[in-house]
Amino acid sequence: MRFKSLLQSAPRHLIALGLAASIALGGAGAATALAAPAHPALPTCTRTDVKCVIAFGDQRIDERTAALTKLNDKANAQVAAGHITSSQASAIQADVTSNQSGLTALKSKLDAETDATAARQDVKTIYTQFRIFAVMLPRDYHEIVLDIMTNVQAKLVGLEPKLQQAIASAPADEQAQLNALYSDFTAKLGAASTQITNANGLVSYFTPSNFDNNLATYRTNWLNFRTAELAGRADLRQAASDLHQMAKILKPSATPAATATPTA
Amino acid sequence: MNRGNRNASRQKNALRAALVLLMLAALVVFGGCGLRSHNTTSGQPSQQTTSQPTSSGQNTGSSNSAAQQIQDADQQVQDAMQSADGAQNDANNANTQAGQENNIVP
Repeated sequence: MRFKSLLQSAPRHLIALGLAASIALGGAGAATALAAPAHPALPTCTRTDVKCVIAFGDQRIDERTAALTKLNDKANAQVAAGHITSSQASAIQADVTSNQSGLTALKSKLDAETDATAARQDVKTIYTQFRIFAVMLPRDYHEIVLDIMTNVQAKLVGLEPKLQQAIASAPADEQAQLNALYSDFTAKLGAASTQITNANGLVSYFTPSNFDNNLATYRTNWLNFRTAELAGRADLRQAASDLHQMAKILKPSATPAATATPTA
Repeated sequence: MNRGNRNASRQKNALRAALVLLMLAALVVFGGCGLRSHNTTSGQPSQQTTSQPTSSGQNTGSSNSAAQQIQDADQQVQDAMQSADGAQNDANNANTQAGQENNIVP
């Protein structure tokens, strides 16, 4: 019984806990990059073993190139599904292309090194110049989320005249409920718009340069970005739920009354 | 003369019989076609039967069109929100992978 009541009260607590943990993890993910635990397969190259350093660097570059390809595939899949536009995806694709080109050039340079110190400097460049895992991938994956949110928000706003028209034509006994849902719907869309604008306004700050030179501000902005994104998503989710309820009430009655069957 | 009249009436009768046979044949052919076409359409959903209830419905027209558009938009928005959840998972994974940016140089 106690377990049952715990389960019933769990969702609210879990959501709050999940949000807090998600923000904390997201912020910490980027912020603790420099203090991350040692690589599990860290090789110990001798001071002059240039081949060993090159092999290590090549592996790190390959990891990043593969991760960038995956990001590109994800963006393309969202375009194919119609959830982001080609124009929105092109910003991410351009990021992927330029970083992959840069990494390929760096790999050529690294592979041609004959001096271990120079090779080590090239390996360092993988981190300092590109920051693929610390900066680029988190930022661009979150941009996809923001793009989807932007498009959903615009779609819902565009639906407002249709909803008003449908509510005006609805039976009188449904009007009060529909108007209450519509009022919440517009309020949540307004709130979502503010949060999306706030989050979008911070995206340009997330660069390798700011990560290396202004880490404290970077952390603060990242946290604010994630908070705005999560709040905006919650607002959109509520607006979508309002729409779903209104759609259920406003179900079209084109089918003949005699053969109409109630839907779940 | 009588013989000639008899021959003429025989020819008339033969013509009548031929006409009757032709008409009967035509009836059989057209009747068959009619039945065949009826059988072909009976296997398909009848458009007339579905259109009749629609015309007798009360809420057809612009209000139903708006309601249908709302249903469609609702479905699209639900799909997009699910997609946003998936994209959010990818973004969270990217956050946790940030630790791979560990600056390790061997």
